[in-house]
Amino acid sequence: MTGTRKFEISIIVVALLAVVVSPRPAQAYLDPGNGSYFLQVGLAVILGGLVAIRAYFTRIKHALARFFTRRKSEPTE
Amino acid sequence: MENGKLFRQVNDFYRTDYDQAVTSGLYQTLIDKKLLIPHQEVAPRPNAYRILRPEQIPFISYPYEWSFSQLQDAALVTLEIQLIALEHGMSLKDASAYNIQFRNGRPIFIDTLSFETYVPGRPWVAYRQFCQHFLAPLALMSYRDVRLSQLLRVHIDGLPLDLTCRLLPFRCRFNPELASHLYLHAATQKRYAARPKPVKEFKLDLVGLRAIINSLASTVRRLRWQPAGTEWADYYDQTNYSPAAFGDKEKLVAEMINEISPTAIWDLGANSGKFSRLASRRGILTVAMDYDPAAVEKLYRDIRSTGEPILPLVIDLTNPSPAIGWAHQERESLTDRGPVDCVLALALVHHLAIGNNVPFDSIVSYLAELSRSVIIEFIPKRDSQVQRLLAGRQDVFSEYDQAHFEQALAGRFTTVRRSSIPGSERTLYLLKLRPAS
Repeated sequence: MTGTRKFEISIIVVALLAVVVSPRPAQAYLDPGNGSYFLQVGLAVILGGLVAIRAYFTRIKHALARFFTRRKSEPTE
Repeated sequence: MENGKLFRQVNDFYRTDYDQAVTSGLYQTLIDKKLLIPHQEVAPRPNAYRILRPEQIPFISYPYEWSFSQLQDAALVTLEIQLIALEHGMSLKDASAYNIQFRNGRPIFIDTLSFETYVPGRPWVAYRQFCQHFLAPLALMSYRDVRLSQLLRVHIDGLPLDLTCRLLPFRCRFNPELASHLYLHAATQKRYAARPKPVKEFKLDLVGLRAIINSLASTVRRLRWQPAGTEWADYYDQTNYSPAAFGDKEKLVAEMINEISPTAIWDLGANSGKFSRLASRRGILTVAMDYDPAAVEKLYRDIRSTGEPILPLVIDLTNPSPAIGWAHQERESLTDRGPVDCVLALALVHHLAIGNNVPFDSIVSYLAELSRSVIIEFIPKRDSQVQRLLAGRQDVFSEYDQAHFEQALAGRFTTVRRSSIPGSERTLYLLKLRPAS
């Protein structure tokens, strides 16, 4: 499963939350800064985490590729 | 403003941020990439740390006048600037669409003093504004109707997110990116509006912040709008011109433009911009206005990599942009951004006079307000384009003829030149405004 697919699936979870948490019209005119900050913290955890996971997976992939290439070339030497 | 020139004052309060923007190389990098308007430091004043003179933008336009791709490009430029700023340890204080202007067909950031030092851990203060000014209208234009950009005229600090979510089709909730940046955003706004928490409590690291910016960029990039089946798409195929006649009209208009030699020109009802570009290709600053978003979009896509000094805008002449904002003073009306050296009014008069019932005298007096000289085309009733407008309605336009037209013109303008367009029944006029007596 690629990093992108994992990303999409976990965001669908977020999206389902969005359906549940239906926005209703704001009653008062207040600077909504807090809500935006709260969301950013949440999104940063998810998106930032996925960036890290994607990088981690790439490293594992490369390590595996190196491992198998060495095995193949041994018998012929 | 001093002597009609715009200056920016750097106050002591902003000293460290300004210095960092200079010494970190942020300003130079952005200016070199043509993302930020260049500026010069001029003689300082008491009480000001520095005085800057930014390069002037010759014609100011507003987001509610932009086509889809113009707004989209403006959004992407804003995000690109934020990423570069973060690399230099700084961050944008605001992400308002009014910080972008167009110069030589490309969006450019004009608010030189919008950068602040990046404080590690702090969320992006402009995230909400970006979503309201850019993402919300772009999503509505893409998923509902391109005309919804006009909501930006009413909502001067960007579209409220709750309103946007109510207007978007239901299926947009399941788009992960829109769900995050619009739906969840609207929900958390409402939820936390009544419970202010100190800003220090919200922390996120640079990796997370960059991930959000990149997510916003990919969301914006994925939004698409294709102009389809617009009433103007076949316009030039259906007109009364033989190909030779069309070439003659182009030649005549070009000659008239050369005769006036304007520094700037407004093309009213510019359509695909064929005639606007006669001016812009000669290096004349051209504003090409049309009320059809598809025509403006098409023209923008054609010119955006040529570097011509042309600005396509969505403007309905029968209801042009008014002055808005506090005391009607924050954003100028179209008329106040004039007058201009020259106006092109080709294949326009019949739309105003017959399509919109504007009398000749009113048309002439508005043109006199806008411009010192006019290149205008008169199309007689016999012409198929006018017949099309008259089809299906009563012909109450007994005074729609060349004689009455010229009479109205004579009220404000001197006819310097009058030429029939060979191969058609239309007439071109080159007019100069008579000074008010």
